[in-house]
Amino acid sequence: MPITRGFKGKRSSADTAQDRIPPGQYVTQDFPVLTAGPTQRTSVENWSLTLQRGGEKLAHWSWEQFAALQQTERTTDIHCVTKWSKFDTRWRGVTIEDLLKAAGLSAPPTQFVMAHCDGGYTTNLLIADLLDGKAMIATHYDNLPIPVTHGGPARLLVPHLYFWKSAKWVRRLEFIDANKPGFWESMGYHIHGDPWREQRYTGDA
Amino acid sequence: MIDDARSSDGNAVAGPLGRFFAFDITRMIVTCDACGSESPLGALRRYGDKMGIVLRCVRCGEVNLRALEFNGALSLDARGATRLTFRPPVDLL
Amino acid sequence: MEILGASSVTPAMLDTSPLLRDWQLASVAAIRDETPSVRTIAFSLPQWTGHLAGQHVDVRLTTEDGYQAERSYSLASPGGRIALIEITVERITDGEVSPFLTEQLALGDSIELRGPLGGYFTWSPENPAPLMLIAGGSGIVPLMSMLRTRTKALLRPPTRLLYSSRNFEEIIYRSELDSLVATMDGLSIAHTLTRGAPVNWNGETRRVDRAMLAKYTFPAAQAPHNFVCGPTSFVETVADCLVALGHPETVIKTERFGPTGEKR
Repeated sequence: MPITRGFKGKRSSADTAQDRIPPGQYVTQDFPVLTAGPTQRTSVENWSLTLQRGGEKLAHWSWEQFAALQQTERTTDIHCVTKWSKFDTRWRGVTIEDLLKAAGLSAPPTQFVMAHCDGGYTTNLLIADLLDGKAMIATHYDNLPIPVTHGGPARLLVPHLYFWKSAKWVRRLEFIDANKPGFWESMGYHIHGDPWREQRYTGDA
Repeated sequence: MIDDARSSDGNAVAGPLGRFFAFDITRMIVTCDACGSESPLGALRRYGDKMGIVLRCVRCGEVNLRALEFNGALSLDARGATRLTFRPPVDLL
Repeated sequence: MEILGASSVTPAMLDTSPLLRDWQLASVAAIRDETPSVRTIAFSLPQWTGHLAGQHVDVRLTTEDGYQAERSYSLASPGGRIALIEITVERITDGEVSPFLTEQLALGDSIELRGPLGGYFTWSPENPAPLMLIAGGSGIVPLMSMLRTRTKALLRPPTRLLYSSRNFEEIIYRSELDSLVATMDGLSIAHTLTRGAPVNWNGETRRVDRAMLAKYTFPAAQAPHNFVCGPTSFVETVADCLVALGHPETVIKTERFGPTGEKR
């Protein structure tokens, strides 16, 4: 593989905290935008979030109702399977626990969730990866409303997994009975996606 | 990060996806399973960035083709296309 | 090095070449700045099948620690079999690759290159239909390959170019385009500038719209073949207008550059 003289790419130098970088990742100061389709532009007037199981709607919030829920702030690192990592990103939103509480669910109805988004994107998650403060529906990044290109008005945030799981433009969380692969998982990305075990593709770790 | 000078249509997949085919895939006609429109693959809208190849219908926006290369193999999902038609080249359009 | 005509390279020949799939090392043979932010780079290659006007190459850059970036660039040089090819690269602010190619890559350097690629967005002089070319910004590059290929051909169909640029200084290949028109061989060119024009400018001064296309393109009744290249929103607007002007979709070919229509 021939080295291109003088080409450095856009990554930060490698003197950042090595123990914070999962295997195979590099740190960036940018916030790259990746998308499986055109940017979704749902106004907050038209936005809602639904929890469902099968055909049954378990809970539903309009934007105003959602904004009235318990808000949580979180600073965290994020890791994209395309190898960039970004440190200390700041988010605000509603944790999945608080969402379930607000829905009156003392326990999640199943062990698996499919997140559905405007534009048709989906990703599957274990309930265990959504509880205990691990995940939220985020509405703010760096104290400002999340820009549409980064998933606004609201996106899922599950930063301990590769960032394709932090689905942009999320609108529905569907409780499912089996761990069914979502958009990228059905193409060969790993069903779980833990960056610390480098679970990038099916068959890894 | 701005993805400089990358074609955002099927023309740009001629290298990464086309290398698995014996013919030039950008001329392959894709019939959209959602709306029935027909388009050369080169004219489809391309998304996916470094995650993989997502080609969408220009008329209705639905996904026609997805492709991901990993561990040296190509994973290709064409369920968004009813039909893929390839006609060997003639020396005109 | 024998230079064969463009007509010696046919689509059938290109489809079956195994060289399409392989990376080869291309060596920088010449560098020419076209505008303050646009540079043409000529490469010599160990093996080249020849190419059709409109095709592109992929380039791949590798850092010392193995990180790789790949991009596609249209070939600017005329179709044919000469193994000295040119790409024309626009420097995008904050880009990852274009600043390197336009500022650091030097004569004698090598980069990995794969191609020629893409038989959909191509034209060759065997095609007698009137040729309509519509370019936005750096979208002129593959269309310039078509114009240069046409110039080398014995038979040249009537051809029109409508070229949108931000301002006068950013018109790529400006003087060569003027020379081509001066040969009076059935080529006409209309320019439009979208962000301001010099004092004695007699071209158009707004974004391409349906009225401008109606004025400068071949009528649908003349059955032209249309090639549109530029930023996504430009290409899609123009293609929609051409359809509205009566051109069948099968004779409108598009190549979109850059992010999918959104401003970042």
